[in-house]
Amino acid sequence: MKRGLIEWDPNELSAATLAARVARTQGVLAERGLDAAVFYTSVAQPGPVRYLTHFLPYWNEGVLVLPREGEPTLFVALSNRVFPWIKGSSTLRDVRASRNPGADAAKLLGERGAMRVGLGDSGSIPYRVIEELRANLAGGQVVDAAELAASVRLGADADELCLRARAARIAAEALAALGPSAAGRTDSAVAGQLDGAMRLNRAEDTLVLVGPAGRWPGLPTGETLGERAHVVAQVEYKGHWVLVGRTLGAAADVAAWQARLGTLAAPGRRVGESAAAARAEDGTEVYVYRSGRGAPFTALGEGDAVAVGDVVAVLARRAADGGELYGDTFAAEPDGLRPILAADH
Amino acid sequence: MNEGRYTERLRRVRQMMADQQLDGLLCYGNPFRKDFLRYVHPAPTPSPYGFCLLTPDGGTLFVEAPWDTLPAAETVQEVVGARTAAGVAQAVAAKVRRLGLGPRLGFAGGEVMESELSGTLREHLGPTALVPASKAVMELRYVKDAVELEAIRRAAAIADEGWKTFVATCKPGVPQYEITARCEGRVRELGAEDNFMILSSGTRDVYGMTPPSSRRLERGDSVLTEFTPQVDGYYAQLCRSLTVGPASAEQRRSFAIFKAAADAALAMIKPGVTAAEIANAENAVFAAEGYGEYCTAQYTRVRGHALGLHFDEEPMLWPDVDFEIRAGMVLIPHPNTYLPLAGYMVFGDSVLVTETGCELITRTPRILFEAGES
Repeated sequence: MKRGLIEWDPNELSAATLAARVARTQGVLAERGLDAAVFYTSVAQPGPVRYLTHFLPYWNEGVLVLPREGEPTLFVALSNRVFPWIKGSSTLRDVRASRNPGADAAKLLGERGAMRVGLGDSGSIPYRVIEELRANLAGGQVVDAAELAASVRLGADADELCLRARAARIAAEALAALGPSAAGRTDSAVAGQLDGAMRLNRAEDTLVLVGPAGRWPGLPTGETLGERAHVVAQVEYKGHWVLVGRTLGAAADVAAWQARLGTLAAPGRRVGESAAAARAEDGTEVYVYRSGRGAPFTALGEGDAVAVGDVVAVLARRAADGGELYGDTFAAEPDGLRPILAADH
Repeated sequence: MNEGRYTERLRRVRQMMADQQLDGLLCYGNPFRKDFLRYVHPAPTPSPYGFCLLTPDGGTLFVEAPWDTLPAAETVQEVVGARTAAGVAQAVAAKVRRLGLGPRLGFAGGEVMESELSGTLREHLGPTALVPASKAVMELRYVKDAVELEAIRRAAAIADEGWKTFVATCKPGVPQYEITARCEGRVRELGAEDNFMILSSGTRDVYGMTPPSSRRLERGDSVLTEFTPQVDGYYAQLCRSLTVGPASAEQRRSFAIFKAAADAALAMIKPGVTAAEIANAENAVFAAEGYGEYCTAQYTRVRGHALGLHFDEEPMLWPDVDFEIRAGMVLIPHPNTYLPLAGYMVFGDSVLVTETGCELITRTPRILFEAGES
């Protein structure tokens, strides 16, 4: 459930930029000989539709039909009474209420004579929705179109990095307001303060994990915290997530951590190698996550590597010094990982 | 195994497995829906994806690392982690094969599972078939047990407290998103793990609720919300409206209709009545006032619904739903709709269906609040 401020500000992300994304994707359709593509959206998988139209479902789900030429159509399991909000917070003009968005999308495509329909970012679409599409596309063929995934993945262009930096500032300011220690406070109180502060600063969504030092932070349970506690705050601003991790009660050397994590998870290096190197150095555990589909972050496997153009979050916990935890978000550039928000911001 | 508070629930789940000739039950959850997962693994997990595998005599939770290092909850003996979602699915399949579970593995919550995970799971499961089991598990979920009711009552108490923050925040000039931010902070502090909250502000131009905008409150506005904190996985909901400044005659008259409709629903609710009968009782009040057309899908979504591990749980209260209400269910009858008198308005309380009627769970005064005066 999304309940932060979900608005489209064309000064931050222009209509021309969004139109260019649609046009680029339609170009891929033409190259592949596809008549249309369908993209799925939900609270869990909002990324591709957000990228193309700026629409974010605050709950429920929908399917976007993108023809090779012309306007996209959104079928969404929301009331037509909220269509003014949908149209005001996105570029969408053709929005239709649907209890079965997959089936209704297929029927529209059938009516339009679409013969080859590509599944955009098919891995993110529920199997049930793909079955609905296949069962209801009269005379047409639904094909996987992996190339579309790359064209709709949130990445690291200038507009996106600007929004991502705003998200990072929201997190940094909320963490700074917590003070140096949470001793004597409950994890719920810490989470409440962070959540409220980030939303007050226009966050779209937040995910706050808190826990006592010595174990990975989790969802708050009302536990009273000691002198040192771990906090991982994820925050979304206009579809762009950042992750920040800190140990309350320990003054993090941000510049040193950013340099270390940037080196460990350098582009091209396998995550397994990064994790092994960190363990060998001083027993530090390292996890690498990629931001791509609008969900907070997706964990990379040991065999995966960070690629130039990715936005990644790196979360580390050092065994020494009482188990300090640190996490940060980086843009992967040809010469290494660059922090979204540098230590001296 | 120390199932403790969940012994009876797990006994019922395993009886269902036996009745359905299921060799095991796999429940899935993701950030969109975790309700089936939470039914068999009540403790929350920060992992974005999760599976819980129940066998006739055991249970295993599968989550993304590093969250697999958090303590195992009462319904499982083992927590298995992997670094990626696909890895989690592979671990599930490996466990199923190792246990020799099959040929029928019940699968609940799979309706929202991404095809990438679905493909990985099916590829590695081998000959074991995934048998849809969401409906069978949902049948168990309708009636709440004592542990579930305790969680819902705590969520209701937080909704009551959160509403106080809502009222205190609503002043002329305050942007909608500030209301949400202050309420979210408060309910988290009080122990809510999540909160489904939509709202709106304005007058006759308001037709529904959405996430907050940057619109600033004005004197004379109606401000309304569905406020739905989650505790231990369970949601309670409070629907209330307020006016910024003194209520106008139209706002008072409109509210009186909503209150009468909600009262009619409360008078109707008891075991054996249908969801349709409750909806019709609400709608009859509007019709008697000459506003029957505003009870249609053009102006309203539903006339209420059940509550539990999902904030919009079946059955919906709607004139074509013949579901028979049972003792032990938790409902929120809410005649929320648009009326030309004062625009969209909401009003409703969470109730427990008893043997003879229903009991209010939320305690907030059942009035039209007036806020905004310093």
